[in-house]
Amino acid sequence: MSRPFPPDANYPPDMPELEMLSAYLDNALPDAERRAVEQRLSTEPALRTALESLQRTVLVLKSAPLLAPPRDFTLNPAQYRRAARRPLRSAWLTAGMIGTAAALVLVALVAVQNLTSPGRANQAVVAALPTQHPTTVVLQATSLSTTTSVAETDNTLHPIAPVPVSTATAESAAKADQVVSPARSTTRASAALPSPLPSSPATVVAANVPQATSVPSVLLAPATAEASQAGNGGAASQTGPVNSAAGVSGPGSAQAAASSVPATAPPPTMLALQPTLTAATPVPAANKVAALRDFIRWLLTLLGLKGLS
Amino acid sequence: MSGLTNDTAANAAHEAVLIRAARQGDVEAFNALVLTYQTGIYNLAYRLTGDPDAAADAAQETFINAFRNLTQFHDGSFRAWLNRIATNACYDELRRRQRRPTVSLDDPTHEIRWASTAESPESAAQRAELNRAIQNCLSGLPDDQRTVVVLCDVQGFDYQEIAAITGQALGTVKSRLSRARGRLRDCLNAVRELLPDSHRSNQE
Repeated sequence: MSRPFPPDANYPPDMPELEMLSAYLDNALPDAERRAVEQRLSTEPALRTALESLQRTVLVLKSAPLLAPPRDFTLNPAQYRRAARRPLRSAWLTAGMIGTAAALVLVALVAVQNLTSPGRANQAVVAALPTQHPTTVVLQATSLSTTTSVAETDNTLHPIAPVPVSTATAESAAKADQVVSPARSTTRASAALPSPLPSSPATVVAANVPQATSVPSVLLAPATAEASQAGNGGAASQTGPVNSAAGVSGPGSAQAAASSVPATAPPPTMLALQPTLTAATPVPAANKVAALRDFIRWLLTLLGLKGLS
Repeated sequence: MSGLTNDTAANAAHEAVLIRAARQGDVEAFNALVLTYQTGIYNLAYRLTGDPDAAADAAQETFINAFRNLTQFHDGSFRAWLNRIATNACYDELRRRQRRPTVSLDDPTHEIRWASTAESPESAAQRAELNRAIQNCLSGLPDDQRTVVVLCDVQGFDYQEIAAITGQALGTVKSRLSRARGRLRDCLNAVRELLPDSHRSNQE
């Protein structure tokens, strides 16, 4: 009997038919083609046989015995607990730390200046910003913008800039649950910002340098507490306010918080400087330097640059 | 049916909780996921590499990578994401061992243990023979064809998922799959006598 296919009808010779039958098996043919195949199947026994041989092959594969894994592939918690955070410790993390450090040092300088001349607090703040002041301040503000842009453009890591700060704090305080998620950091941010205060001169500050201050203005809020506390000689690790600072200055939440801060209460943070400082005892010039040194020492410890485990 | 749907939804929700915790560094939560998926991943690796040791290495590498890169998993099928990592790990293993996958089942030191299947009619000897025949034929395929047919007919992924896992176009998946099945059909046909009766072709 002559057949269009070789005697063993399990071997259809045409690859296009094989691909057609294979797709038909998986219900992956468009309706028109599926109907065409079904039409052919009803009239071509050889094609039916070919399809059945394919079906059997797939069935054999599906029935392939399931092997038991030779062991569990679970991870050792002691070895891998930090691995989840390790990706955060990368180059941009260091930039974020430096930028945050710069912001806080800027705060310290401003605070110290205000200690000596409280009446000219606002002018000092304005002067401290990139336009007029000495090189160091300009560089710090510049690195701030850089940090913000770096943090924003990095899309391989979780977009929380100061999680590094939290992480450093967490590790120094040995608290593993300090790594904040964006949702939680936002909550802390809204909790940390003081209620709106009368606007007046601080508006000038906000208007002058919108870019550079969007981050530091928010950072200043909780950090102000640090400045005054440093002035009183408290240089111990401040986990609470720092975490607020950390939570507040994430790029996402910082932008949101910063944009809302000028709108509702133009840096209440700047104004928080004034009431806090006038409330604090005026610090003699000699202690001012010591206070600044203590503050910077605390800052370095916080960032893991000095004897951090 | 509704009970099934509820189970599926509950499982998905539970898995999402585990993934979220694992993403924040909770290793124990991740290990719960490992226990769920390790049999499937190990079997994928075994079918792709043909070697139980290479499969174990690839499986371990898969879960280490997955834990470290969890921040890169956003949504979609976690299982498919794991299988993509595993497929890449297997390609690395194949390159590292620099040989075509061979079946090392003749080696008595490689004692294969089977995952418990309550409803398997085969004896242990039959199961070993079936496995050997299948893996022999799989190992004879080009890597790309073997990957696609294992992902489809062993792991149960659909064309779209396979395309995402392998990074290939849909058309490429289709043609490689059909070629693989054609070759397997020929190969298995040759060892038809070794297959249990239920898998033999009907004599028409």
